Amino acid sequence: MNRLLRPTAACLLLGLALAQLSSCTHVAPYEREHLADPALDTQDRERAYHRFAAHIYEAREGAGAVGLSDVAGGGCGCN
Amino acid sequence: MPAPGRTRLLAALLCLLTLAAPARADEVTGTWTGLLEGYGNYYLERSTRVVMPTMRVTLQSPVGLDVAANYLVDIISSASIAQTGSDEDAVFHEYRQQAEGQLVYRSELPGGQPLTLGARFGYSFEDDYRSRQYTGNARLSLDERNLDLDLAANLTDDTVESNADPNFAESRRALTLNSAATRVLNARTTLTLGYTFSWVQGFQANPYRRALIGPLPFAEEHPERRLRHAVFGRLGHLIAETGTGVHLIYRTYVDSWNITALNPELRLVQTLHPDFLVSLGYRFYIQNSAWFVRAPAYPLGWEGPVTNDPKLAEHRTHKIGARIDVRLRFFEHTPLGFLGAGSVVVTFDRYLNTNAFGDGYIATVGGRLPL
Repeated sequence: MNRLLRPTAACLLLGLALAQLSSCTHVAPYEREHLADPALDTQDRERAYHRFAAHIYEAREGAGAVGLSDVAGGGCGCN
Repeated sequence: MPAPGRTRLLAALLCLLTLAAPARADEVTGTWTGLLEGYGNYYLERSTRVVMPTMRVTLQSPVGLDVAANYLVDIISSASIAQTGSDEDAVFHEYRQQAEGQLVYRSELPGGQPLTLGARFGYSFEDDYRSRQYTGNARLSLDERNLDLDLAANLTDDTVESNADPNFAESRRALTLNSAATRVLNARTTLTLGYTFSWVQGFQANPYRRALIGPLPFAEEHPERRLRHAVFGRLGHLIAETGTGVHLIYRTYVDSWNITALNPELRLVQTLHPDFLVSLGYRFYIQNSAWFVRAPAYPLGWEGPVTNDPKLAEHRTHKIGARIDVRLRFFEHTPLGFLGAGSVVVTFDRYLNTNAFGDGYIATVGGRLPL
């Protein structure tokens, strides 16, 4: 039961956090220059590296690639 | 040769690679654009070496449809008694190939909110393992892209065989659901929160590995079902005055095998020049043991699941690394001017692992070239 409470609590926290996000500053399209800065917008540029790193985590760590964005685990017999 | 002709020629010659679609199609002229990527990935630890070259091609149409293909070869060299059947460790080589195809469609809801739908199929095969992966994903952008909502579902259907036993054949299936929300907090800060659930059913052990019950080795036997949960968050902030990106990432993981893991990470990205970025990263990972782990051996008479998988035991890892991204604009106005829009990347990480797999090195060298 305690193990079920942990993910349940995490989901509740996630929901509360999402509810709070509506009070953030609205950034207009013409104000997004910093958001497109390569030092901040790294996901696309680093996607290939993180996919290989996730492949290593899947084979070497118990949590594998679960919860790593843009990566589906499995695909090899790296067990 | 003009750009559209070169793009069509490459598309005809290469049936490759996946992911990413940063280049934008030219909707004004109605031409296709794309991106060609190639990487050499390398991993080295005490008993295993992995070399994994990867190639990707992405093509974007001017009508909101992207097509991508990905191909990689996974060359694994390991020292193993179990797989070679010899009396002592001997080096053996495994070759895995993986091909993926992806479609992405960009549209809008009636209210003008951008909607992106994607579908991907991947097939991975080696002589004793085959995997089919089906993924569907959607992204809805709201509030002038101040809020992105992501949903993805992945179904994996694997067939596990054994080179040591031609009669051995098992199946493994996994359904993974990903959800995430990314919010722009201000003009320099974004926050992503997400949750992943994975249901895994079938054979999840290693057909070559043996665990000791008393003094005798037995084939691994893991529980048939595993339910996995992860909550993750990522906070990114740009210090515009210095051109520094600060990224804090955190993941909490729990599963039905009683493994709990915590995984914080810090990355710093520094713009030294518009064409030169340096990144430094530190990642920490810690977990406890699965409930059925017993070391160094199970007691005589043990009847439950048995494993000798180091990654199911209690352990922690540290990963420290650096990355360099260089844009190739210095090639412009030279005979190699076509490289001027491209970039190269070099990464190097030291991976410290307290479980039996041990420490390792991770390296990547590669580049991308817009088409």
